Amino acid sequence: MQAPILLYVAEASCFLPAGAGLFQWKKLNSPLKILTLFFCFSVLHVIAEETLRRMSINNLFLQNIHQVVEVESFLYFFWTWSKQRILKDGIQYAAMIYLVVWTLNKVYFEQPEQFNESMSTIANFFLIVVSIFVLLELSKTATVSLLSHTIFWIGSGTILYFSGTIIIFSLSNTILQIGFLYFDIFWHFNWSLVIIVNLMFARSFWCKIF
Amino acid sequence: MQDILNNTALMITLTTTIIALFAVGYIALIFGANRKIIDEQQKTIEEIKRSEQRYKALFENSLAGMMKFNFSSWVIVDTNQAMLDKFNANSIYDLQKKFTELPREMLRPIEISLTKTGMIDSHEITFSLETGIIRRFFFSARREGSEQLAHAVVVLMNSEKKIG
Repeated sequence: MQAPILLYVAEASCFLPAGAGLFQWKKLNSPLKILTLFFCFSVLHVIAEETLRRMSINNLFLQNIHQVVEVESFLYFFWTWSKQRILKDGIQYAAMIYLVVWTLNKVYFEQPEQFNESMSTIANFFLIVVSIFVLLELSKTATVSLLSHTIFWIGSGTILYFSGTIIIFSLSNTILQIGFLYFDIFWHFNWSLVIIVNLMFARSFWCKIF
Repeated sequence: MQDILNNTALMITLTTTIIALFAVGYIALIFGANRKIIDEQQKTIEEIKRSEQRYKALFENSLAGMMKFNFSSWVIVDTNQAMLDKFNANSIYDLQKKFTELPREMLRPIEISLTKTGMIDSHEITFSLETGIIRRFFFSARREGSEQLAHAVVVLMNSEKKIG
């Protein structure tokens, strides 16, 4: 079956934050370098997914691996940025809890040929909550426009993407059962968000303030 | 059956839209709050600048000599033109040199009083110009905060020509 054009655009957009990070590499601090490495990992993930899709091999197991790296990378990034003790501790606990739950899920419950709805929901939930608090802390401490803060673009992108997809991801298998037409519509929404958010992430590498 | 599926899809669409709108709204709210804070800071900075300019003009245009100085080292931090004129000095460094050349017993009471009470009122100091004119001044100063800095006001009492 012919894949929609938006899928290719969304896949291509994954190169933007990785490219931007590598382009600005010398100017980046350690947390941003780690985030760049995650974006590079995302590019490899997209290439692997696309290759398996073309070979008609189920690629959903890749999503589960990508998800744990994604959650831990973003949580680490937010953890390094935050100066509030309570928020730092909260992020640390969230990262640990997620890792334990993900491992248990991987060992006992994961069905590689299906969407991992429960883990997606937990991942989205953690990232939304942490982003909300990070943006709140930023708004209280920022003395110049938020647009010149890297964390604003990353935090906004995170909250936007994971809020927009939390229902779709947590009901992926149900949506598939309803019908492929619906699945296609919802996934177009997901790809649109991917494009927007990747543009925001790429923009973050040109900010003056971390 | 189809109705149930359609309703489920509609519910997913609605909840997704609502949550996404909340996210956008939250970002807009944070952005708006920050803009408000920055605008207020900008207003405060402008007000401080205006206030600084007003006081700078008052300092610069005063007929009384004024200076900010360290009362233990007699390093002068800032002064106005009236002060330079009174001591016939060309620059802040020249004025500082002239103060350090004054007899120690004339400056010592100023240091002691500023250290102990934080102020000195109408202390008399005498200064001889190169032309032979002797000028007598009232020197008043108040200590600024915990640093050894003080703000002084110097008023000319009289000038007289030294005879002989």
